[in-house]
Amino acid sequence: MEKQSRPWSRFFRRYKRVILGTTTFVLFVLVWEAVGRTKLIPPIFISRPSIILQVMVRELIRGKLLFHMTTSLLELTWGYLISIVIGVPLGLLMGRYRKIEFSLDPFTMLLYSTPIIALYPLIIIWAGIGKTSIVIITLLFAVFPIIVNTFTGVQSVDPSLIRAARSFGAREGQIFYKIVLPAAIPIVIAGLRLGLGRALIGVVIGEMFGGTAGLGYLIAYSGAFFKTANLFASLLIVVLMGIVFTQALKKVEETVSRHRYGGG
Amino acid sequence: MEQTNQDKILPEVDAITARKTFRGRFFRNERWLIGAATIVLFLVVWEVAGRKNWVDQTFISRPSLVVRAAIQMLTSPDFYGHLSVSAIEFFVGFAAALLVGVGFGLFIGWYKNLEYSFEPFIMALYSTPRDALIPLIIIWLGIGLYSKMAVVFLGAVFPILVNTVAGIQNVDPVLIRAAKSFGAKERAIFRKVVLPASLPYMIAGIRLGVGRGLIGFVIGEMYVAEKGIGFLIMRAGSVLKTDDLLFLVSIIAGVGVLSNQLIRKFEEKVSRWRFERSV
Repeated sequence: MEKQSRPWSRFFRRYKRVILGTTTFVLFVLVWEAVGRTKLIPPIFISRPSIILQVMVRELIRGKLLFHMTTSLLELTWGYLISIVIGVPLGLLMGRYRKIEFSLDPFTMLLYSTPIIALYPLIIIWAGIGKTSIVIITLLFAVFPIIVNTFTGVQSVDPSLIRAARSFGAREGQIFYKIVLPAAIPIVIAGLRLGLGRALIGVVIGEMFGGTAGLGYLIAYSGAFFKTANLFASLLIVVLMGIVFTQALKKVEETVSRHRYGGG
Repeated sequence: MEQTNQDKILPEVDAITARKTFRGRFFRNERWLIGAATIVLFLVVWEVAGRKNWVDQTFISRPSLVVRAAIQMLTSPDFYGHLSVSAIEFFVGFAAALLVGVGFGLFIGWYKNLEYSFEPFIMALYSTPRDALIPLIIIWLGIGLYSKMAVVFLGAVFPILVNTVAGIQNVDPVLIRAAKSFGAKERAIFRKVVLPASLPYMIAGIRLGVGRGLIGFVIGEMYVAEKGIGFLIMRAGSVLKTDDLLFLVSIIAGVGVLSNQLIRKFEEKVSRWRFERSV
């Protein structure tokens, strides 16, 4: 008996994670579908997977969904790029120069622990409703993890390396490019990954509050009209985007750190 | 882990900062002095910019007006009604998140198969903008207190849950094996080895959770509500009362910073205790 079941049990043990995960997921979807069909819970509350999928395909074909997706992606790209352009140099400077760190620390600390969304009405007063404010919110969401991680990355550089370089006559610029930057890169990239996640939140929230297009707008709009299936469809796309982005940057992170340790 | 703790505990002795001269004092308190100086400078520039109308007052207000708005709000009983609504939403939502996050986290962290089963859901929800669920939550629970509690709960529960699971899985297996060879039963191992060892992770998760919970009620109230700090923020914004708005935002920011620092202190205490015990 035990001998017969062996290959199967070994297979199971090896892929236990995937098997169990998929099973519960499928089970969940099936129960959802069943409950939705029997209308035990009104469809307005939970809709059901088949209808959500239908809506998604229909909207994709119509091009409406694609339009909102590209709007969100564009805003995301702008906000995220600007946050990198601001965050990385600022983090580097703060990590390298103590005076800059000490003078900017109170502000970054405060803004890092403030719910950025509370600044939303202020941003609307400054930039009006529309793309600009959403890009600003995205930027604000993403920039602080990037600053803080870049800073931590620079601080974590082994000081003996810097001292060694200095005793061999390296100039500040050389120390920066040849030691600090390469050593800090893995942590900086971890910050970029966090920042991307936050940027996505920023876009969606920004659009939910004051957008006229984009996935967040779609979510808010569908919610306001009790179009639960549409709401789920848009949410699903946001979830997928979140997973894809995080995984992609994780891959980058792994490649970079492998390169670093492999090359050393 | 222990190595880094040791590094932290050893005080950094620096030749300059040890001296009791003016220079020594300056260097010892350099962080605070420079930090305070830039804050003061910032406030002064802001005030002057407002007074001289370099920038439109509606856009940036100015510190003195913000202080006036603060006094006005703090002396009106209306404000405390909003504050208490927000507080109730936060505490109920957060208590539920704590209960579920730690309880469920311990459970699925200890039984690996359960963790594998729930992993897709946890990971999907952990990497989603959970605040995007607000419109759905409002369909489910309406625009009152319950929906905000749910938003706080959803925001706070995942960091707590994920960190609790990580804490349990990072317990040194040697410790568990040792306890087992001395005849400890599973319950004893769990209570005497796993639980204390994973405590620092849990507290780190709780710290993150508090931050997310704070965002939760603010954003929930801003989205749609009839009471609460988030509602006041939205109202102040829509009538262009920048001074009120800035005061309200600074309350939220202050609570955020304060709770973060408090839990960090607690975190340090717990890990120090752990360190001493493990020596």
